[in-house]
Amino acid sequence: MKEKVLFTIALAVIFVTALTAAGLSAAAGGEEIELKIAIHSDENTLTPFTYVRGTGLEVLRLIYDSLFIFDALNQPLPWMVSDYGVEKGHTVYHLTLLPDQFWHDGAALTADDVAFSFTYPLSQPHARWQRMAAMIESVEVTGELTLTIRLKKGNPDFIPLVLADLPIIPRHIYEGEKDAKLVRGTIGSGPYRLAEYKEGQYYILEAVAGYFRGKPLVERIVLPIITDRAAIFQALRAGSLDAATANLPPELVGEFEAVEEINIASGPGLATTLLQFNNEFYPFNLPEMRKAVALALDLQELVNIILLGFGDPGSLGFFHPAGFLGSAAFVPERNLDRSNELLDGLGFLRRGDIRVDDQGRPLSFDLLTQADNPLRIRTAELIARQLSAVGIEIEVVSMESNTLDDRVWPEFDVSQGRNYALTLWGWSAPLQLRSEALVQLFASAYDQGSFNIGGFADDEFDLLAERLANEIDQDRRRLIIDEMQRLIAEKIPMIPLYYQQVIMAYRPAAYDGYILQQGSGIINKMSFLPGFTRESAWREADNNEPKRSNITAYILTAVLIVVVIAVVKASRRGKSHAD
Amino acid sequence: MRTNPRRSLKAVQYLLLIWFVVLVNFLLPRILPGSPLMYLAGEDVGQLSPVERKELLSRYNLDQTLPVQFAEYLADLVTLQWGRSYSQNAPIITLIRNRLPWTIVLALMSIAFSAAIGAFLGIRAAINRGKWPDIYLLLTVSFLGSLPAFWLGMLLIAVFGVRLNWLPLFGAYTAGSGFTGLQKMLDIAMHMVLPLLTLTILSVGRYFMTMRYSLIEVLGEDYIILAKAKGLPDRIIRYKYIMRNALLPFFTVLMMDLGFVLSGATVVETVFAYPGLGRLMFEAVAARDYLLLQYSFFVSALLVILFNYLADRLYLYLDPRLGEET
Amino acid sequence: MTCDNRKKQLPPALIGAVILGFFFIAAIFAPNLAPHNPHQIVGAPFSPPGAGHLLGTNDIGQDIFSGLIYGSRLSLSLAVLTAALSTAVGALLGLIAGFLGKSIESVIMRCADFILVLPFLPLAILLAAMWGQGFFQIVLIISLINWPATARIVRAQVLKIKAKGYILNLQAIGAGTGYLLRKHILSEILPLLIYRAMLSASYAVLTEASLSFLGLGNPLLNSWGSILFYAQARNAILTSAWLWWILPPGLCIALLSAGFLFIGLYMETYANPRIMRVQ
Repeated sequence: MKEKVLFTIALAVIFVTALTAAGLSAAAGGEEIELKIAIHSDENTLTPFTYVRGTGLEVLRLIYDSLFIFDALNQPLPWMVSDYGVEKGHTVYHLTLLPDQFWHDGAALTADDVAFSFTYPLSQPHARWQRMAAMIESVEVTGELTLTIRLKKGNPDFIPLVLADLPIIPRHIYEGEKDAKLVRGTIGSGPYRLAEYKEGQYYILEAVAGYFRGKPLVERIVLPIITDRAAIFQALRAGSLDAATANLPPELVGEFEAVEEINIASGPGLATTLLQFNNEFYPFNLPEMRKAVALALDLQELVNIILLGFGDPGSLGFFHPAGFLGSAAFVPERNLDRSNELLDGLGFLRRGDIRVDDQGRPLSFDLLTQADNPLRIRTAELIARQLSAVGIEIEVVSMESNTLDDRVWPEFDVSQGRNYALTLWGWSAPLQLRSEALVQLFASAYDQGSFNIGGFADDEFDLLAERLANEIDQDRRRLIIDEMQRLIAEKIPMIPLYYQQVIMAYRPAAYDGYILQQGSGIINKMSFLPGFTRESAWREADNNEPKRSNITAYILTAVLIVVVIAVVKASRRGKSHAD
Repeated sequence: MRTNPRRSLKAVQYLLLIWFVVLVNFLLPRILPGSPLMYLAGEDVGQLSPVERKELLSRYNLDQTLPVQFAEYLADLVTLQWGRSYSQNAPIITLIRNRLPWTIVLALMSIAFSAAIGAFLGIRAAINRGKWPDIYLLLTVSFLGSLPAFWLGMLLIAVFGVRLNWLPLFGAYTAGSGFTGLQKMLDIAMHMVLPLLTLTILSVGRYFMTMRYSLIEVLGEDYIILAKAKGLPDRIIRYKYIMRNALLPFFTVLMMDLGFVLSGATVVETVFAYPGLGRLMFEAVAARDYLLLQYSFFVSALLVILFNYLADRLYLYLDPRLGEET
Repeated sequence: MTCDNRKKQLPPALIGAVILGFFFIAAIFAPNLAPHNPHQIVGAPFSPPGAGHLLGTNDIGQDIFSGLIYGSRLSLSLAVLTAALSTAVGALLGLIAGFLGKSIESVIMRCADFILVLPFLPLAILLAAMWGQGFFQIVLIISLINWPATARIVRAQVLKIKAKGYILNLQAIGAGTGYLLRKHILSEILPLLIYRAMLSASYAVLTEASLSFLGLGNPLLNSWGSILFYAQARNAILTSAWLWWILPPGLCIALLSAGFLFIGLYMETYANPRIMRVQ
């Protein structure tokens, strides 16, 4: 498997270098490029308050700017700011904006707008921005382009967590508006403006000529809304689309690789698919039981069959080992003997095919899964098969996704309890990038552990969570996060099953400047603005961030070494293929 | 049996029906498990504090008791203040108005085609009743009517869209093409071919059967035999007696079909990603968008009721003799 | 309709019977006919036909051909159950309405009207979301949507029979309602009921497929609809797999549905209700 990852990275790097030149020459041609990129869900007016899913957020970042952006490896990069300073134990952030930034209606963007963007969301029921605004004590505008943000509590991750995420919105549009959802018009300050939106039909984005980071390379982006994946990829192959926001399904990779006019960019994915235990439910409240389940699973088989190899087996530490928070791979090795031993030790003895507990209750459980997600249903079926080997009977129950949410996470409020034994679940990519993800997932106090849908409670973990909350030194925080991962891998409140790779397909003849952002895709600012090539997107991150901790430097070096090895391996592979 | 005050009784029945629809449209979505919170708060809904969650619900009147919500719904319904959809940030009336024309055009065209083809074939079959052409037609047409709609759509897409690349695969028109005038019309027509073909193939059977069946029946009736015996010319018999009586059930089926297709051909609209009313309802269920659900459901049911009513009236008008039966 | 005419209707009915017989045999002898257990993973995912897999394998390496054979069990039992349930309920309510009349008739017929005017697929979607997506839930949903048409027709027929002289005479000489129902009315409407049952079965096969396709069926049951659900979800339509993964199950659905319909049409010549079809 390792080879597969390496191979993919190597492939990416190879075609990066090979195609950058082509991309640059195409951009230099001076012809106006128009792209047709399918968006796979209707995201309303694409404002920070009306988008629906991650896809919408991805696209609206072309229209709205944030103070920082994430580079190809998800490291924050100053964007709207020229200069910034952090003081007083990460409670005070001084920011200086770059000049010549304008709203799409022509008004100048000032520090006032930025300050407003950090306070206004507090009054809006948009969970993501509201949470960010709630971290802020005060915002002080010190000049037309300078401001100071004070936090209630020191937070060394404020830049990636908030400054690189929160979109800056125009004060003159939103001021005094009670309900941001009702505000008409999509006015941002990003490289593209929303020229047209037909509900359920399409979006048209047009390049902003005077954009302060340079004129976008693509003049017009038409985004037809196509919810059906088959229709999207059909159209892409037939040539009526140039790219798509949706992932290329694994089963089509072979088919699409054979099409000469289509390129494929892929990399490790950060969306996590997991087997979630209800940790309050007997016998899954017993750590040995959860461990026995983990040992009975064969995650590599899941990756091979469900994802056709285009993914990585889950690590019990939750974080993807290739992501920058993942410290080590805690992928459980299938060990049926050990699993059987554990189950025997718990007094769950085999009676025929199924084990029973000391009171004669069979180890037979419902595994809930979403009916509209065929991959998960298949995963559940395979899990049932794998667990039957150790005498645990699994009944797969598929239900409509809202109904499932209601059983697992009623009212999206973990303090309201839960009504399931086992469920398949997924967390989207951004969670893998949050240093506080583990706290949100596993802290027993529900105001902190707001994602603790398994009702996991562990004193040792809570202590670590508290230490993390009070630690501001980056390196020491990192050590605590590592320790958390180790602890979680041992206690197993859930089993991450796999991380599906991000696979993007596009037509290079139409445009070839796309930059694959780890875990998300090719629709980002870097893809459409000058100054970024596939290599520079990584290198620039390195240069502009002097305060980066040592660990990231190590990771980057490691990645470089990996890439070199992978290139060598890949070229060997290529040779053997040629033979 | 109902005789004289029939008409007012019918009216009462229809009103009762509408009342039922209003009531159930309100209740059904709300007894579904799940909540619209996800769409109200965005994907990070899990991070809402209890206070924020409560505030959010009250903002949308979702914290009120059901009777209060129902009263509000009634008031809104009557005053046409249908409010905004939770999931698709737009007024519900606009959403429905945007979707309705596509559904209407598709429905009317498909019914026109299938009724014409169905009637033509049905007459041919009835004339040759019991002979091989009739049996062939019967077999073919009813087999075509038994095809699963989505499957037929998929096949048409696979053949005409993917393999041959003749026709567009999805949507009602090319998004953002900037076409105008004739070009735009052509574009829309091209997009309509496959959904229209699917719907037509599927519903030809109904018209064929009805036409064939009622013609055969009429042809066997006493007064036709009598008319023939009287030596009336064939042409007069055919038009005056036969067609008039055979058209009756045919038109009834047509009217009812109108109601049904207008209320949204969900499956076909889903396969072709056609922006009609059926797909709107489908999306609303997934999002637990209570308001959008109840109003789109209402409009759709109202259309069915309306055409049922028209069918009733037409029936009475064409053949007062039969009024008693239904 | 004349007797002669009925004879001419026989070929379609025979074809229908052959189709049904074919699927019944497939269903009963599925374990003997199918080369593999349809739930077992027996090959590489997405294999094309050949090498022991007549129709290739599906997305997790199960044999599609075996799935098709076993699928007939599911589709047939679903069709039969649904037809029985919806016809029984429809007939019962139709009889009650037609025979007893008065307010109970109004209540029943208004309920029927009501279900007939609700947009059917969205209603099915709602019910599936509410009741869950098991086999019996699907039977219930389709029956619920299907009984009103039967009830309407049965009621009209009962009214017609009632109006005939001999029933009135029998009533006049003191025959009990139960006796009349059993001896006369039931036997008169039996062909009609069989006709409606066949139509319902045909309809049930199609509806199950539609529900499964929209992801509202039970994807764990190996029905033809769910085979298509996976084929669609895993983009078989874009690859040559549509030839062996999409075409055959769809044909099975169409054939079985048409089989029921053909027999139904033949029964119609006996039933001869002068009533418009509602669907």
